Amino acid sequence: MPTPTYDLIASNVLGTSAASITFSSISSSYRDLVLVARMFGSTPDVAREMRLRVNSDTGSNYSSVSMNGDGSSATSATSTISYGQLGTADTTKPILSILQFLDYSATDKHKPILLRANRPEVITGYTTTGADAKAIRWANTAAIDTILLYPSSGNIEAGSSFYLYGIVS
Amino acid sequence: MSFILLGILNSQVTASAAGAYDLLQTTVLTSSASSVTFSSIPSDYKHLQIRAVIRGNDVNYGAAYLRIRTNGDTSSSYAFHSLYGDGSSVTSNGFSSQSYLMNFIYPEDGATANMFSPIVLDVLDYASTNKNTTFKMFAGGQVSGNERSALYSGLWNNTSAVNSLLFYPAGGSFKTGSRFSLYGIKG
Repeated sequence: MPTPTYDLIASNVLGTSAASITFSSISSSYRDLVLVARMFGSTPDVAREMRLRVNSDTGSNYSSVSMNGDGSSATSATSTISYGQLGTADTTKPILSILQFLDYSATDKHKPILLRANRPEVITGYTTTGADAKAIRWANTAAIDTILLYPSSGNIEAGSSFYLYGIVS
Repeated sequence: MSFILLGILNSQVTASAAGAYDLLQTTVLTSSASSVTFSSIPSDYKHLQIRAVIRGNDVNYGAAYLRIRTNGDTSSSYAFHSLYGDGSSVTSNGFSSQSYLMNFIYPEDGATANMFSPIVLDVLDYASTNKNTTFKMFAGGQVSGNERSALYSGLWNNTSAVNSLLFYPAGGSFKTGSRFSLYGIKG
């Protein structure tokens, strides 16, 4: 008998700007999490980077390898820093992100995260994310129970939306 | 050409009421295994999705290659393309008349401890008997010297309905803790 799955755990559509968005007390009863986020920055024509942290970890425990196309070239980079980089946005050009947290509550693994992000419109003066595919690893075996999204500066603007789903396995 | 619109619920309704995305089988390895097979796949879904995290079992190596076969077919009936970033450049490759799909690189047990590679594989129109089966995959990993953010497309050049999927490494075994989950998507 197949098991229905893909539950909406929490959602948030910002009516006013916010310094950050947090999903906390995430149940460990799912196998994977999927976070669908559409984020606006708070400054017109200035690209603010949207960032990810889990479990309030501010250490340099987020390793990533990215693949990006910006409309003129395809590039790839690696980084190991104190947050996951989701992409950039301003007040009218949001970053659209789908994050897949696989085996997020397993305590025998570092946490792999797959990110697809798109910002179809260029922010003037910035050669930043167009279409992005990124593999992130949170180098910690603790179960993820908190997800934080925040901008590099300013706020996440009203109209931004966030949907967190749990996938049963 | 077929299109399926999959709506993700925007309300506090449990998926049991919608039933569009069903867990069919899950395998979490409690010991190493030379392969993982999903068999007797029912034909009453539109698409399949496989979600997996994998690591190899050999401490003497840093990386291994994941391969996939359909319906036990070992003939040269597969083609696939890859587009991947390795941390310094973006590369695209294409292969035809292969005896497997994807050949994705993932960590062996000689790589950084606790590091597993994530994989999301979609098998589209898998039960159709009037088209060859197509696949798309998104996978990644940070094996030192073999970092990957990778997109794949694949083709099984056969119009039979898919009833089994085999996942295996090019050499060695999958490590304990590796996980493969099969989901059916209705359409």
